Amino acid sequence: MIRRRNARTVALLLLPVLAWVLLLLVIPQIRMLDISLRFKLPVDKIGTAADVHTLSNYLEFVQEPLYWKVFIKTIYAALTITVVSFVIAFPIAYYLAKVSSGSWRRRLLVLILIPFWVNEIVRTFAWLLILTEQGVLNQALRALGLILEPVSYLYRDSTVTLGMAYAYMLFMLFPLYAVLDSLDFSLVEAAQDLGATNLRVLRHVVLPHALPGAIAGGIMVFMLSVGTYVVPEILGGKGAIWFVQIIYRRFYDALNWNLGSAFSFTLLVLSMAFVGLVLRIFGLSVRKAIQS
Amino acid sequence: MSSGPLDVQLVDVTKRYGELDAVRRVSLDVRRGEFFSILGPSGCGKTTILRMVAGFIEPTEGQILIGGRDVRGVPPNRRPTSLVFQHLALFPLMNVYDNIAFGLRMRGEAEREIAKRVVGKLDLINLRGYDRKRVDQLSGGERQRVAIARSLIIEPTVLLLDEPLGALDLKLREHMKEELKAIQHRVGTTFIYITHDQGEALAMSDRIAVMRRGVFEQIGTPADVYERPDTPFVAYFVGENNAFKGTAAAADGEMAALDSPVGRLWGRNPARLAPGTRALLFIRPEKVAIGAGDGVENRLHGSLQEVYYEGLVVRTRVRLSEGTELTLALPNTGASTLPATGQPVTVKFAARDAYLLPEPSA
Repeated sequence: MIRRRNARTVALLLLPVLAWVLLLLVIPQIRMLDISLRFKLPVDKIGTAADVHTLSNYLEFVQEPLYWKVFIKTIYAALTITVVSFVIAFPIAYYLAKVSSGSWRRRLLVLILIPFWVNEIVRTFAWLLILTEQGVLNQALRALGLILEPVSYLYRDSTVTLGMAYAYMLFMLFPLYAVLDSLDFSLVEAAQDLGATNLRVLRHVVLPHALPGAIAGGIMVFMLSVGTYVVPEILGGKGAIWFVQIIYRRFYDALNWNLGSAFSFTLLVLSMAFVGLVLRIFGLSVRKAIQS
Repeated sequence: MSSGPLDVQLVDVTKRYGELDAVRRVSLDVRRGEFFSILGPSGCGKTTILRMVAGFIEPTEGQILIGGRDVRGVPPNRRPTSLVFQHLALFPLMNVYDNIAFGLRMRGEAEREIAKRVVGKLDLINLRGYDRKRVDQLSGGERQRVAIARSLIIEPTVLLLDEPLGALDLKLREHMKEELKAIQHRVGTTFIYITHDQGEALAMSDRIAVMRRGVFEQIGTPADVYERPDTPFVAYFVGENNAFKGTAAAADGEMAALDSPVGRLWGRNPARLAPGTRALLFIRPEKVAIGAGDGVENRLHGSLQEVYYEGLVVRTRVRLSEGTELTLALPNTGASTLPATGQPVTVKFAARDAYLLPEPSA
C-alpha cells in the first residue's frame, strides 16, 4: 500500500532501476536493431547516402539452410537440456522439500549452492578435467578395469547437454523446491490411503502440483541454454556448432556486426515465440485441470 | 453392540519415539459397525494410534489386526482402512467427482462403474449435482462430506476420522455431528473417531476410549465414562465436575464417606477405597440442587455467587462456608426461583450421584 505522499520517494527509489533498464538494456537493443537493419559498410561509408535500411541480413538467415539447421539443433538441444535438468532436479527438490528437514535441509541447500559460487567458465573447465582422455573419469574406469583404452567423452552433443543441464540446474531446482515445499503432505498420504501406489501418487498428486514450478524453471533453463556460449565452446569443441557461436563468429571473426545483430534478434524472437507456444499448450492444460 | 465380530484389534501396542512412549501398551477391540471414539487432550497419542491403524507408521511393539488379519508391514495403500484427514486433504486440482472417484480409479475400476458409485455417494452425502464443482467452491460442511464420501467409496473395513470437525464453526459442528452419525447408520461401516472434544465423543459414539499420556484411562459407553469414571482424569476431562478433597472414612457396602473440609460427604465407592485413603469426591454440576429437601444425603450451606444465564441451563457458583466453591448447572425451567446474589443458600446432592476416586499422586 503506497500512500500518496510516499509516491515521490518511491519514484526516487525506482530511478536507478529505470536508468539501468533504459541505458543498459533498451537503448543498446534499439541500437542493435538499427545495426541489424543496415548493410555492412567500410568505416568511411557509414553515415553516408549508401547507409540505408535493409532486410538483407535477415534474408541471409532465411535463405541459408545451414543456419536453419543449427538453429533447430540449438532449440532441440535446449529442450533436451530442459528435460534433463528437470529429471535431475525433481528428485533433489522433492527430497529437500518433503523428506529432509531442519538443519539437515539447510546444510544440503548450502552444499548445493557452494559450487555455483564459482564462475560458470571455471565450473565448465572442471567438467573438462573430469571428462578428458587423461581425466578423472577415464582414470577411475581404467583403474576399475571397466575399460582398457581411454574413451573420449568430450566434443559430443551429449556432453554439452549434460554440462549445460548442470550449469543451469539451480534455475530448475529452486522453482521446483518452492512449489514442492508448498505441497501439503497429507495430500500424498490421502492418495496412498485411497490405494495409490507411489508412482500414481507422483502422477496424480505431486506432478500436477509441481507443474507451475516446472514451467517457470523450464523457461529459465531453456532461455539460458538457447543463449549460452561458454559451455558449447569449451565442451563442444570444433564439431558442435551452436547458434550463439555463429553469432559470436559474425561479430568477432567476420567483424560483421550487422549480420550478428540480425541473427541475435532472430534467435531472441524465435525462441521467445517457441516459449510462448509451449506456455500456451501448458497454460491451457493448467487452466483445464483447475476448471474440470 | 455387546458381541459380533471384531473389525480392529490392538494388542499391547506401543509406539516409542526415542525415550518417549507416544503410545504405551494399548489394547483395543472395535466391533463391526461400531462408532468408536478415542478422546483425549492434544498430544495424548490418539493420532499416533490412528496413523498406526492406517499404516503410515508401524508400532514399535504389539500387534494390529484388521478384520482378523495381522497388518504389520502392509502399506497404507493395501490396508482395508480409509482415513479422513484433520484438514480433509481434498485434492485441490480435482473437482468433486474426481476426488470421490480417486480411490476407484486407483483400483482400475471401469469408468461406467465408477460413475454409478460416485453418484450413489453424492446421494449419500446429499450433494447430488455437485460433481463438477471445484473443491474451493464448497463450504466447510460440504468439503467435510466430500472427504467422507471419498473415503467411503473404497468400502473400507474401517473408516478412520482424525478430528474432522475441528475446523468447523460451532453451529455447523453440531449439524455435522448428527450428519456423521446418520451417514454411519446408513452405511454400517465401522468408524474410529479421534477427538479432543468430549461433546462430540459423547454424542456420536457407541463406545469411547479416554486417553491420556499414551495410555487408555477408560473404555466404555458414553454413559459409563460420564457417570462412572474410572479415574480422576476421566472425571475431570469428560464434562464438568466438582471435586472435594479429603480422606475416605467409613465405608458401607457400595457407599463410602469422605471427610472433607466442608464436612462428611457420602458417595459411591467404585474403587473400594479403604478408610484413611486420600481421595476425591466428584459431583457433576447438574446433579446439585438448591434448597433443603428430604431423602438426600449431602447438604451444604453457602452463599450464591455469580449467575450465568446460558439459555439451556443457568449456571451459578455457590461459595461454601469454608471458602471452597461449587459449580451448579440448574435446568432452565422458566421460573426464576433463584435467590439474589450473595444470599445464603442450601445445596444438596444424592450420594448415588457422587463418587469417590483415589487422589492422583502426581
